[in-house]
Amino acid sequence: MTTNFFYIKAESEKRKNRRAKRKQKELNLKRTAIKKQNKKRRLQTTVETLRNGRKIHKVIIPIGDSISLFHDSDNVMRIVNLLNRFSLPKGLQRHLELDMSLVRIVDIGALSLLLAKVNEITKSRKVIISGNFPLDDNARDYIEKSGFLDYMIDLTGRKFERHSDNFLVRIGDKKTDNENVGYLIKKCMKVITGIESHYPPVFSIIQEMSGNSVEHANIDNKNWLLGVNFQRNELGEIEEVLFTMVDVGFGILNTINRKWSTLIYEGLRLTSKTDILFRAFERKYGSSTEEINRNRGLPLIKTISEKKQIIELKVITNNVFLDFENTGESKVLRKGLPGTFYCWKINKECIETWNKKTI
Amino acid sequence: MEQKNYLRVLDFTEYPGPRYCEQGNNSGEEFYHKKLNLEFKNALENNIKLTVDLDKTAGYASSFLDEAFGNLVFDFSLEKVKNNIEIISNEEKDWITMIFDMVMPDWEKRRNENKPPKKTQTHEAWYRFIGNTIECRKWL
Repeated sequence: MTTNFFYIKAESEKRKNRRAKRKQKELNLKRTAIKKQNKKRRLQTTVETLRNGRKIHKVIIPIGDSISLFHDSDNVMRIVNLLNRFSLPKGLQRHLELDMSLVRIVDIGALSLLLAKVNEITKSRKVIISGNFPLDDNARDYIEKSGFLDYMIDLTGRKFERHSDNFLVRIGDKKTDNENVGYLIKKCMKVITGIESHYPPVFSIIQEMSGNSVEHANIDNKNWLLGVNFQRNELGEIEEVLFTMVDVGFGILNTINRKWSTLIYEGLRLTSKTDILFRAFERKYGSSTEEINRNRGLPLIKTISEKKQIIELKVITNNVFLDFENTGESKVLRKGLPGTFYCWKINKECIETWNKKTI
Repeated sequence: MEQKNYLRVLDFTEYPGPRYCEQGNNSGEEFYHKKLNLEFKNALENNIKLTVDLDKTAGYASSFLDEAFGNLVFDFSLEKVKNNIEIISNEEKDWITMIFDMVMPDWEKRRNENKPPKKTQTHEAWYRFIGNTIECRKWL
């Protein structure tokens, strides 16, 4: 019995050791991958002298292999935070170069956010921003068709040629731009239904979002961007329109007003940030303006989504990702977003739902 | 009170804007001061109802409606407004519920607490129901 006992114990010990070694190996592999990644992402900074003798501080920011808000939001936040860090007015004038050569995965959310950030930085601070194209054909094609290049010039100072109907547009500066938004929606409706008409649910939510942005954004750098991306099916027909909205500001969690009692209650119940954000969309908190008649906008956005007048509504604000249709996918991100990002889609079914309702 | 005055938001703008004038064109604040305040005062004086038609525009931000109808309650009281206004919104019935069930009671509370609305632009004198009379002046 005793021998057997030792024999079994020795086997379990061996198994334990093997498991520990395997774990260690996996950990080492992970560490090596992270080190490689960091090496790829290491910044190169140089001081260049211009023809007129002026010196300029050039920083190359490696984007890495993905710039996607949905697949690798941490990397997008890292880039945004780096842009923030190096755009501070300190010492020499800065030239920030975005090295996109390794990019393979890209999405419209990340491009909108990047563009909004670039707009903000170049508007208020003396910073030059440039970039290169991904070597990957698909990624390059995506960027060319996204509308991102409408705001860029090539090395000869010329504007890039348009490759699609998609666009990213700045709607307003210090004020909302209702008419422009209305026209854009009419254009989208023509693409989906063939008839140029209003679509009040989308107009309303864009107005809510830009209204929030105007009210809460920092005064000098108000900046929000609407993206419209036509999504085609296998036959090349436009099936859905993806809208993205980026507001570079404080973010929703920094503009809600929670009472002390609520803070203590939520603290004791260990309420997660995703739940807090979700509750903000249910009008559970007050506004930072402390007026009782406020905070109807976020619940309205949620209601429009629940009524299926828009689909696939997702929000990223501060460090929380909220998916309204798949709530289980909502999560707290490692790095925070300086502002709020919304995306949603509309298709024929959404418009039919709306039309049925109004008959 | 069979007769009615009729006010279409579409005649003011096809693209209603944000809450305040300083935030954008065709705001709720502007709609109130350019249209709603005077039309409601006329209806009240003639003892007829004012019908406000919200349809056929591009859509609304809740803040536009909140500021417009909220100011009306602040200047004329919840009772006067509820008894003398009718809102048409066939395209989005929820706006009617929101205005009557949420906006108006909240602004009546503000009125009772004497928390005046913010004005982001200088407006011409406007009407307010005080005691038993309607007075016209620059209140803020």
